[in-house]
Amino acid sequence: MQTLSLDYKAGKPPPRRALAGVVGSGDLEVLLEPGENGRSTVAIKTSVEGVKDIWKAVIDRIFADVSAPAVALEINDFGATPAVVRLRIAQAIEQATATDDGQQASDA
Amino acid sequence: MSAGVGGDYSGERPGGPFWRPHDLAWLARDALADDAPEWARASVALGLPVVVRRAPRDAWSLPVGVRGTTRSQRFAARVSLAVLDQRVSPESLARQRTRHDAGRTLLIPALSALDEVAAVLDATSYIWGIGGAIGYELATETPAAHVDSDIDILIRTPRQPDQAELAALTAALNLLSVRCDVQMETPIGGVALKDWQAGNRRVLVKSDQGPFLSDNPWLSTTHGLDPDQVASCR
Repeated sequence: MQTLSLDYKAGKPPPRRALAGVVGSGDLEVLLEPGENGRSTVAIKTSVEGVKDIWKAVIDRIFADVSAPAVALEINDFGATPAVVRLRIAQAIEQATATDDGQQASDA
Repeated sequence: MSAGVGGDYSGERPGGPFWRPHDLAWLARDALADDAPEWARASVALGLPVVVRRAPRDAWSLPVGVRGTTRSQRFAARVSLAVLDQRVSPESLARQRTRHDAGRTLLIPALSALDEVAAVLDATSYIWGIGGAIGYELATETPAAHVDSDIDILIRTPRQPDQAELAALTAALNLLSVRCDVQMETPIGGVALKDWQAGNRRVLVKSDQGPFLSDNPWLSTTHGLDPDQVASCR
């Protein structure tokens, strides 16, 4: 099991927590908690060896926008591809920031 | 447009059998190009099969994945249709669960649980199959699974399945001693059963055009290329 911790500048925390993804081959589980104001953290556990650089590149791009919601993500990876990683994180952020009528609070 | 005809090869298609994701393919032993890693060429040279993977299709080649002995040994290749030999589907592996190596069955819980899993799946209305490491080991009689392998199960769901039957299937599988990872093959791609049952607004669909999120994989209009204009990969 490999672990990786990343840290980014961010905007304000979202209103609620969220869970996206599933435990299963080629997928991942994303647990999202509202973060500290101005800071996002990402902790990744993966069963696949030798993929730290790919993970860092994928997550760096997602959190490149310093005004993105401040979140604390815990990720359990089961061999997801970068495209699946991006969609699952986007899905978690969408759930955490959506307003009660299901619409996005921002134009994400 | 009839359901299942679209830019993805998960669903039924008119015109008979074709290569679907998760099918195992045996290739000519020198089928991999020189740019493939040594271990991948060695695997094919030994007569081990490759797995059909989800990627865009064309008229001349099939996207496949080569399995190595470790989790990080996975190689995505594209092979000419001319080098394809035998095809074994996940369904046929589920029907012939014969194992000649009793030692492996004793060692690997997922292998010893297969008859119980089959009893659960055979009692449903679904056409089902076995993929992943367990499917590969059944097909090749070479060690691919490990002690904590789960069982990758695929069910064909050309139409939206009944929620109550899905719930009953999940409940029955949860009583078994081994973890089963069920994927539904919908007309537009693969969807994890757990994802669909989680009740989130959208599910992740793994399609030949890459993954995307969908409200309902059975109501979505298929997207991507029209296969009739691209190729028939039979």
